[in-house]
Amino acid sequence: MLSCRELHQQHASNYLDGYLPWRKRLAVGMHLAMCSACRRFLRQLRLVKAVLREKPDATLADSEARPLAARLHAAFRQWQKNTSDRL
Amino acid sequence: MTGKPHNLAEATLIQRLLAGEQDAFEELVKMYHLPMKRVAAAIVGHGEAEEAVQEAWMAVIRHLPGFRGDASLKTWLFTIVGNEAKSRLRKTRREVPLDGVGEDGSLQLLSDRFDATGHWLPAPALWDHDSPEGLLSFEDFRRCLDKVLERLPDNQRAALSLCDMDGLPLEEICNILGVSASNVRVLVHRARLKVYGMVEYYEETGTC
Repeated sequence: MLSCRELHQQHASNYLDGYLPWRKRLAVGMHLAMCSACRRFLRQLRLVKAVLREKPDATLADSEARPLAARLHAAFRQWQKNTSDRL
Repeated sequence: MTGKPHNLAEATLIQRLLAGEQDAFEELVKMYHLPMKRVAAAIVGHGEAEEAVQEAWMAVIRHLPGFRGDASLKTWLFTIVGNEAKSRLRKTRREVPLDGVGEDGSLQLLSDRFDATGHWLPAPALWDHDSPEGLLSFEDFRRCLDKVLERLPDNQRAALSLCDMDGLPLEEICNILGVSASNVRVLVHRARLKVYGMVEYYEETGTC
């Protein structure tokens, strides 16, 4: 019989993400049917996953993005020029 | 670009880049520089990540006209930076680190939540906030979340963000990081448990 510790430390994310082989999935399902604490834990871990999915992306600050973009733009124009010169 | 565009916004951005619009380059680096740096840090470590990303950007510029749109722009960029970081690692070090996930002492702490028979000690408490939007609406929660993500080991942070924040399939994450599927799964789970620990503490105390 699967323990709460095993579910917590080894199988919870694989169960949520659908990566458990069917025997293990069945064992987790049976455990969950009898264990309200693990049901709550999995519900909360699913919420953590959703929080990460919904978290707004951090973007590079303008002060760093502008000079880098200018450098890349110049390199791209140079690359285009070299390519058309060769043709 | 001859392949199917991944989505309209992406296809438009690529067209603007190919047309040489400077604003498009700014949009590109704003959106992808930090996620690319997370990927690089997982492979070469935090100290060399910025250099690896700068080199990757130059490779992106060279290969942009050949971008076929078979993969999403994000996956394409992450693959380039992953390859750049791996090649850097091969050049600068004699040995590529083992494809391991390493020891993680903090899991030991988490295991203290169980008794000798493996039962919860105590069981998880009920949380007041049960929607992602609800939690993310609190500024101090967002700060706590950034803090816990920042403190994760580089490989856990990259695996978690590629999986949960970028939503990439497992196979693509393995290719980008050069790590086996089972190790990616371990890294994602360890990282999620740490974020869980923060959320749990925040739910209890309102701080982190």
